[in-house]
Amino acid sequence: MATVLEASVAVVDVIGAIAFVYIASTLAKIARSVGGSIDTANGFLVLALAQVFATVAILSGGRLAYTSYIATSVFSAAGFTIIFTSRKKLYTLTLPALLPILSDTVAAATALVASYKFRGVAKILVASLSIGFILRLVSLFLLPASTGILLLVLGEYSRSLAATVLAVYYALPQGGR
Amino acid sequence: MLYLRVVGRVKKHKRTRVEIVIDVLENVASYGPIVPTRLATSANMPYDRLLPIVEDLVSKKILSVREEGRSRYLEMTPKGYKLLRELKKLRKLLRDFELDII
Repeated sequence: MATVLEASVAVVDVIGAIAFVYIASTLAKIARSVGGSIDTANGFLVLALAQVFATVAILSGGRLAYTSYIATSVFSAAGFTIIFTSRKKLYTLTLPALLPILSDTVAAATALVASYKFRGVAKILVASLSIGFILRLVSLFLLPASTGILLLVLGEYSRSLAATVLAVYYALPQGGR
Repeated sequence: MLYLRVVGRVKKHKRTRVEIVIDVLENVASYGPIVPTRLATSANMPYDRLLPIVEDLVSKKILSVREEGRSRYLEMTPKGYKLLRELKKLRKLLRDFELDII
């Protein structure tokens, strides 16, 4: 049962990564054609990398899983920071990456701050992504109790679903407004 | 009265630069060669605000200018059509994330 759950989250993460790469490549094409900055495209590419790390964390074990777990939230935070600061050049956030607790906190806070400024579907989905990281964060304090495992699974589902729906939604052909 | 209160709360959405560029390109693409004053009306923006955007697009070879007598007509270039296609693909993302990439 656990293997099926892990595999399903991994598949969803891979789809998300592909969609983020598609968004990044389209943004890079636009930037190239107008001679603009590719910062935003890079941000989405970093988000795709976060999805890849999430997949590795799920499918692997031991130190590699631990490293990938931390990398998932750190890369998510980095991606959102690039996107957020590329639209309003106000400040950059320092992203500590020492412990999963810190990285999850940063990811949740970054996504939450970003979602406050975003609009429409992006606002809801980035907020959901933030909730996913908060659940992961809380679960770390409760592990290895069964409540902690349940929260971790819920957090992973929430995070991967929100990230993938976000990527797929904006990657799909868009008709009207 | 209730209606007025409800309407009063509706926040008017201010178009980002990318949204304006998409509107400008869509109008030029659909009307064909168009004079800037008519483009300003169809893109729903003041002429003086439109002019620097159009000049920028012309300098980037996204739009071209054709002079006929005393009139200046704006036309799409192949690069402009390609850019419009790419921008339309990510229109929602650009609007919701408020990304000004142009």
